[in-house]
Amino acid sequence: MRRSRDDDHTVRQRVLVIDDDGALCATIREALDEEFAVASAPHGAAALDLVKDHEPALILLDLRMPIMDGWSFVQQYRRGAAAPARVVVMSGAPDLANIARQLGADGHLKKPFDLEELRAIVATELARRPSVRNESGRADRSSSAPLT
Amino acid sequence: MAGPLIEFVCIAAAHRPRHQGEHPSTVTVHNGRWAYCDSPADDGHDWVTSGGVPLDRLRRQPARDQIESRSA
Repeated sequence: MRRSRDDDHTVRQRVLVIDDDGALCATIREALDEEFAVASAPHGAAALDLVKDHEPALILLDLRMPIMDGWSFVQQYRRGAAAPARVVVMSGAPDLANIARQLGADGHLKKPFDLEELRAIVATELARRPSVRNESGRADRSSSAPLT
Repeated sequence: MAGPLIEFVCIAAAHRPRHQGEHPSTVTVHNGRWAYCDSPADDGHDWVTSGGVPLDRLRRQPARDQIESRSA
């Protein structure tokens, strides 16, 4: 059986962090970078542009952001994405679990969180993501090109 | 679960809430540690170390008051 080029390398799943807090994005990127291809966007509108070409497997989403907030992003993203990523909302809101439910998010991560907590929810949600069949019919959970 | 403690709080006068319980506030990262400000402002923060305070407590009492009561 012929192996594709992707099979010869460890395929890193794509994680997209959408948060206007640059310091937090950098911290998350540092925490996940070894295992995942991590990209970030400062608001929902920038993220919608990004996901057109680079489909993430998981989105870590802040709620309150300038230009386009987390609520608007989710609505528009769910409408457009062919194979929607798992969405985990991140916020310090006291009623985050309810907000996440209303939003139809797959999970929630309350700020402040431990990096272990972050890694755990990322692993859990990615494991729950249904396999997506690519054009060759091969079951795949992600694509390997880095997000830039 | 209480979660990690907030290591920095913002005491900038301009970021003080006009009345207690006013939201939204900001939970962010400063110098690689969790930080809290009573205001949603992106900049103009005046961070001081808190010694480690649970977020819930900061929410009940403005950040500056926490620091002042600690040093009293």
